[in-house]
Amino acid sequence: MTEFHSPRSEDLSRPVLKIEDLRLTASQGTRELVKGVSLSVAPGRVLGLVGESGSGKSLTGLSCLGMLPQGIERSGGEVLVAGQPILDLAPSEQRRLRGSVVSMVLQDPLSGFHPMLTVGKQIFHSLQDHGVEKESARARVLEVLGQARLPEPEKVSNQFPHQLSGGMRQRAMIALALANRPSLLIADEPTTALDPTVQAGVLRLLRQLADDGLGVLFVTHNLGVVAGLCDEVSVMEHGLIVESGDVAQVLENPQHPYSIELLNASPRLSSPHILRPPLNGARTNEPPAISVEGASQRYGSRGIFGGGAVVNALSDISFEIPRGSTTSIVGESGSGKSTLTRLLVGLEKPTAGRVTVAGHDMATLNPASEREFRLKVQLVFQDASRSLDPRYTAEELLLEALCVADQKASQSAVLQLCDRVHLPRTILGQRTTHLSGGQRQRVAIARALARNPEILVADEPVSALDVTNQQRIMGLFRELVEDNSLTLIMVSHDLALVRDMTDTVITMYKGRLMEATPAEEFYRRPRNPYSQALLDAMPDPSRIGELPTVTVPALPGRVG
Amino acid sequence: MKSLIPTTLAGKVGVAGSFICVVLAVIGPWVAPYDPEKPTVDVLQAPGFAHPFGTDASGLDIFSVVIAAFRTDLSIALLGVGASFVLGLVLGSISGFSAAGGRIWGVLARIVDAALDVFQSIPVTVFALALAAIFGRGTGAVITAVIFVTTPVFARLIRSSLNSVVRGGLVASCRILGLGTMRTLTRHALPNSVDSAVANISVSLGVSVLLTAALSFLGAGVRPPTPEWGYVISMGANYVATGQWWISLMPGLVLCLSVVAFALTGEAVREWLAGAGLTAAAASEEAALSTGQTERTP
Amino acid sequence: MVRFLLRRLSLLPVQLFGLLVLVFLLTRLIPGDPAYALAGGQATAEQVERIRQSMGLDQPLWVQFWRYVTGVLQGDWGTSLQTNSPVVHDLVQRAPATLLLMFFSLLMIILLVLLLVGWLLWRPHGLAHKVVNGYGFLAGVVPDFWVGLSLVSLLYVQLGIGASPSGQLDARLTVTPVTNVGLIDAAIAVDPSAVANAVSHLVLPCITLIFVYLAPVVRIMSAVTEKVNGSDFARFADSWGISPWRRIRYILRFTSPTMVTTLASTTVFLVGGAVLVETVFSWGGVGQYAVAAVTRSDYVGVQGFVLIAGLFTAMVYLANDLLHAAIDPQLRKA
Repeated sequence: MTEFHSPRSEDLSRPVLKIEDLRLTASQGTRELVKGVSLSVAPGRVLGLVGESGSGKSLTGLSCLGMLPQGIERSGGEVLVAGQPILDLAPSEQRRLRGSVVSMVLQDPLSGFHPMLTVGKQIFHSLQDHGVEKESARARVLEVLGQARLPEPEKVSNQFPHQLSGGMRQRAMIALALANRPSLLIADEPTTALDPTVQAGVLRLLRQLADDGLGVLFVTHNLGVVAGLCDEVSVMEHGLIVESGDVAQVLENPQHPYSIELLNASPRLSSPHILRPPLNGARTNEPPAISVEGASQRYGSRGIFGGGAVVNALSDISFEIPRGSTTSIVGESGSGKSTLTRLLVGLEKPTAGRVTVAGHDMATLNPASEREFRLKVQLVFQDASRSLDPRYTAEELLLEALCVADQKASQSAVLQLCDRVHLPRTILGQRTTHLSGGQRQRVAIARALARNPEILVADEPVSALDVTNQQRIMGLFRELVEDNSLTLIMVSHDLALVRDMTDTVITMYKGRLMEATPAEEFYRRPRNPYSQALLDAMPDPSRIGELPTVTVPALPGRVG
Repeated sequence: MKSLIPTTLAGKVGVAGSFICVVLAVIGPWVAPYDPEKPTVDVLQAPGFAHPFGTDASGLDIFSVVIAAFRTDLSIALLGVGASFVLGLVLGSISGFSAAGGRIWGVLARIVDAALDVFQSIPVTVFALALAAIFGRGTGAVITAVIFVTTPVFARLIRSSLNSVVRGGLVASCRILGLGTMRTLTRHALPNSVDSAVANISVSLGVSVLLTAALSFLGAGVRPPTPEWGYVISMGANYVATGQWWISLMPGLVLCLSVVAFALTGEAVREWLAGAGLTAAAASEEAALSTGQTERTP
Repeated sequence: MVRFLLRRLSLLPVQLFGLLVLVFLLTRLIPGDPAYALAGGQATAEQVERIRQSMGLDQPLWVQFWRYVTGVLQGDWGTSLQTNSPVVHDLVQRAPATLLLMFFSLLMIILLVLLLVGWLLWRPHGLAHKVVNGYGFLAGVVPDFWVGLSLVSLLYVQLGIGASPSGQLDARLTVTPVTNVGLIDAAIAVDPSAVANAVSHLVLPCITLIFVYLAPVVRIMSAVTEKVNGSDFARFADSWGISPWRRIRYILRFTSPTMVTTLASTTVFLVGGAVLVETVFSWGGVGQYAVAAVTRSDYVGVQGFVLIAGLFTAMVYLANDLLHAAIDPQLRKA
């Protein structure tokens, strides 16, 4: 393994990044976004910069490149990159440093790459712009793609960004960032949009690069990732660093109340929690709430000239869900869980097989039976801001949910609904755009509960929220299930999140059902190798220094 | 409800200008200093105190004709654009909401889409010219031409806004709740989709005025002696090369300024709508931006 | 790529069919007896009857349509009522002049928009911003016929630039009409003074078209460019130290699909612009012919003109789609 950056002896003592009392303001100095941040990154070390949205962590990362957005100014402090005060330099000097001393990777590689140039071409350009001549540049392109662990670097180099999968694209972005051998890499949530199994691989790559001498500033909100990857961690809240130190020290023994709060809210697989006894409250002697037999869903058709794409979103799925139980459907992107959700709530009809929900056969749902069906089965969407009409107030939305079938609803019914989801009554007169994410989601849940459905399907209901909010909303779901003996279907990609409230876990992969197992057995030892891979890939804040493993077993099934 | 006064200087100028246009359209023929249709003795006079815009070859006072023309051009624009908006709303709804409707709706939507495509296959001016010819020229023909040309614009705006609302999940959530198709369309989908069309009304008024003037300039529009800007310009066209520029250029200037006023008003309307944050599209953008302080509250 | 090509070309017959339906229906919408309209205002009763028979106007509508379509495909687009010669002949004779005007204008528009947008990217917050936004504001506001007349007054009458709006060449010059395009005919005849004269006549109409139709392109491209300039894409390129010159090229390339689409619709608008500008400058092209057809109720001529405009538009949109596939790899699903 070639070292891509060999630190000289004097470099080892000097940090690649040193921020001293950085202050950033917006709106001509009226709003302070970063209020005096200090940190340092040594060569070969990974510093995790943790905070929720609005903490100022991304801005801090950008300042290391001297790339503050329009309207943001530095009102105090210094940023020293390899000893150079990057915010004070002339633009041409800054440009020289970018790419060759400090570099960045973003969350979404698809929006970062030029869509019309091949990956190799763009890496080649970055080398040329730093003065590397053609022959060496060509060789370097392949070399750096190999260092990013991309199989067949030659082939990848000639592909366009949209032709690569998410994980490969992120590796290609890392390759581009490293082409000119910088000593510092700013990684802003690079794995947040990736599936857990893919994320694990990218994290391993970053660790290896750090071990070879690269200094990394890893900006994230996920403490589990920090535990596995980082050497040091700094916690940011509202523009200030509230705690920093060695990762073991901060995560095992947090001092600041905010750090403690964050840690408590982070879902983890390894805590000694008491799992629910199997099928608590479920009524197994009654007909199942949901019964799926051999269901398949196929999209698309072959167009003329063979241009159309056929997608087998679901292949031969079968399972049963007893009434009153809580089931989690877990899978990564492309697993088919969204398609299955749509089938269960009657938004689509299956192309094959039989889906029976609350006694209704989904294939024969007509407008008359649909009305009855909708009383029994409801859905909570992932993104409340898109499913709630912004022109109506919360009160009007709740009223609408209550009197859909032209029933009269009383004001007290609205208030009752509000209380059930723990919403302060003061928000009723406001439009949902003025509410916080958590409040919006509660309104959406309230609407779903308005006419007391038997079955509630929640499609990634908390993935758009901050970690502290996620816990609260999951707690609300738990409470609702217990109070109303609801049958709850929770669709998620996060096994740690659903662990404390689910009776059964169903895992899906590329349209197939991998397993449907009682929770206690699942989390101890799942029956299916893919489920095991998913569990292994989950970051865990208590597993310090242990990177999520990448165990991708040989799996059956066609590539979709 | 947000204040109706535009925030930018441009917006204020635009709304004021549009207001003046409307006022002149109503009272124009009465405030004109001379009768716009009766020639005076002063033939081919350059702009001066007696005739601010000069006179033409038959002694008509250009200023009076221009003032009187406001009524002609604006009434055509208002009628044409008004009818187009309503028609465009209906057609756009049929086409843009077909995903939520039944089989028959789907068939209708296909027909509407095909028609919209066909209307896009001919340049606007050419199409308007042909229509004016077919319908026999004159004010009625011009209004018809305006309707044919403007309706597709509104239909397409409504269609694409509806498409993004449907894609955004609002329609699916209404359906899951049990709301019927028509109710979803009228109470949720459409109100969130009209913003771009409403902001475009002002722009379309300007386009209509330009089209009316162009058709009349070519002799295919409003029949003389009805006062109309384009027609006056055409009357003065032969005199420009010999130095009597005022007959063509002054009416054209007024025409430009009116269209500018409408365009600025359209921008102000668009900003007002965006600021009130009422559409579903604007909302999800705002939601993404407003995280931070608000995310911490349960 | 081949599959994409085939799929796109297969749409063409459908589009053309729609166009033919529309053009056909236009003349059938004329209030009153179409036979009178199509025979012309001067026709006698027997001539009207003859028209009725030969065009089959007493037949059901779809029979008439079939006859029309077969006629069009064979090159018989009817006989113009104003010139009494076949419409196809009239159009072919006049088209080159119009195309010359449109070609030069479009060329200059492309050059100028690239210059202006490039300038905007080079110095985003200085004079470029003001100039581009100020000029872009004129988009859709100025009527081309008035601009043409204003230019005649300002540039020709006051400053002596260009030539009088009297056609492609001065009346006193005689050049053998080969292509009916003043400039080309003068070049063929190797007559330098005539060539110079033709160029001087070309100046004002072109400036008119450029001035009016460059504005919307500038407006759209500057808005798109500014948006891209602040996007993730530009930020990431900055983060690896892209050189300023390459940055401009990256952004221009990124926005090239929008540029292609905008230029395609500009070309279509130019047809309409040509109609008006030709009238102002007595250019003698297809546009002027169309206007004459309208004012003289030559419905056959009108129909022919609309058809050729529609065909031209279809070609432009086809070129647009093909160019898109060529520049954007995401469109060619390999």
